[in-house]
Amino acid sequence: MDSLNSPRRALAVHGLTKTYHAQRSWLSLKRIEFNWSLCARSKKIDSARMSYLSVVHALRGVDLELPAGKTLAIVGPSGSGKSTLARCIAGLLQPTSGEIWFGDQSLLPARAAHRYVQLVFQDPGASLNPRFTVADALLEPLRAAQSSTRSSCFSVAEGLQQVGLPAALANRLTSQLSGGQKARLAVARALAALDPDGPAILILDESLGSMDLCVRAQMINLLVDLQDQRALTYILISHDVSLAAHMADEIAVMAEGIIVKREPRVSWTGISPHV
Amino acid sequence: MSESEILLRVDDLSVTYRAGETYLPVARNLSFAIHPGEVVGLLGESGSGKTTTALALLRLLPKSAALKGRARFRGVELMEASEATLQKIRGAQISFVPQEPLLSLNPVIRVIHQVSAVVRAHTRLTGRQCRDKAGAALEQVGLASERLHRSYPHQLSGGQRQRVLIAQAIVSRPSLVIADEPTGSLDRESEQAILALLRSLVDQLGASLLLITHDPSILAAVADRVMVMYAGRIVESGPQAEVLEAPLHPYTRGLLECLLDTAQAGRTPDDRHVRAIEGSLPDFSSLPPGCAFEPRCQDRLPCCREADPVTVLSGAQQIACFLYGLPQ
Repeated sequence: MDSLNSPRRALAVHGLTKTYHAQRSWLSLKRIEFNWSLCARSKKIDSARMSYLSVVHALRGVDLELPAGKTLAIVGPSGSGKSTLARCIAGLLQPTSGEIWFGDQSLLPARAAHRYVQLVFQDPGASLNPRFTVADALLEPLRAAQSSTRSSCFSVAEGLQQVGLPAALANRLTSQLSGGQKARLAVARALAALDPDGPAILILDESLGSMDLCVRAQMINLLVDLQDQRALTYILISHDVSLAAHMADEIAVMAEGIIVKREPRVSWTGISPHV
Repeated sequence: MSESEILLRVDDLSVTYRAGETYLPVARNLSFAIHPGEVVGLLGESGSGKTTTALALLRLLPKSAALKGRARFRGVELMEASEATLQKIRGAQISFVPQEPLLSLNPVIRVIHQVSAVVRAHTRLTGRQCRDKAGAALEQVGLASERLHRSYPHQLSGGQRQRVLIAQAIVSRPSLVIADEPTGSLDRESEQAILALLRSLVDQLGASLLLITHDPSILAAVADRVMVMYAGRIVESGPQAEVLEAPLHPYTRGLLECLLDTAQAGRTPDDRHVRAIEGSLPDFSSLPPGCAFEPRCQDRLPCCREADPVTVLSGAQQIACFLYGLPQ
């Protein structure tokens, strides 16, 4: 790995698209057939248009470049494709077409992505298995990656410590933690799966949205500290403009599956996400 | 204010949950009054006892919760009322807007029938009359079209579902609406719309609103008065402008500093740290003998460890903190 301090590119996304083929029940199939017969009769809508009836274009060619160690906020109305983009980058969804590069390495097919990109989910508390102990929850991503060498040298105590949790919590059940502790554990889990020495990307998909103000303030401080220590790159997905303005170096506005606007932080404190 | 002007007077109300041998005092010695037409905000972190307080007023808590104290609503003593009396009050005179629209609506019943069920429970009107009333209520909350009335909850957006719950709450023209985090799951824009709607509806009905939230920025727009709750106690209460703009209790001050627009004051633009209250809420099973906020407090005094401060008056605010009145 070359120097982290140089403003090198952490992530590049080119022409990313994602389409879903909507599953229709037989009831609505009937309706489509009816539409088809109408179309056929009027001959106004060609066959391409007909197939559109059951296809949803979630991402329509997203291009994105992101320097290492910075924070990009993605804002936009619900349904604009923010979460789909996040999931594609994190390797949880297979994009229909396009390229995702982490440094000089392609993240497609997505099998290798988890070492470089991790996602912290919308409700950190709800994404933890309540019957796992804290230590199990922390080791689960490593076991899932079947990386026995890494899980043997990984220290649970250290993993907890770097997010400000006492090591004594390791044997508690995750359901016994408070909301703030769960949020910290969710971040610790994401960090555990990342490559410990290299650069990495953490995607925060509305992770701070549902939190109490006090907990959110503590989490912001934690994330800022972690970014300094580990040279992390953040992608912050949020509908809260004040949070995006606070955290991000740059903001990208998404609408209908594409990025419509991208601006540095200073100039956009007044704009609405619904452009 | 004279007694006749008060809609709900809560006096020394405490709720204690029992779990085996441990007792959890989740609401402790609450006293407050709500006047007709007033919008009162109840502010606090999750786990501070806000929802428990609301459910205690409606007597909807499980048997494991022991209630103490009094709550007088329009001449009825709620804590001693019979189940039959309570049935007449709940939903008709005091209504409740719950937190999770998806969990509180029946997924297999059209929304208009779910609203008209509230009317049917409290009146002797015919089915058609009930439905007409429900339709009018849905129109009032901005769901005017027949198509929306006949849809199922999953076909509506989050904001629309929240509007259905509000329609249920206002359809029988109550005199008190309790809304528990009504905008919890919504984005900023629908949040503002829902708050404006709630405020205008209670103004039209002449009803009072008890608005439960963890976000002070919500209250600035709608509330007349704010009560701040911490670990089961009301630590500060007073007119909205005073509490939110000149907070006295160290907890209220800390909570408001967590807001991002104020957090930047006096900091360089590159430092993104926020002034946060460190630590977390104390465990209800082992509350400290003194002030519950003492372990996290920046301005603690030696006496804070020993006794729980009593509520004193400071200007227009009622406050439970030794900084504003030392123990005798």
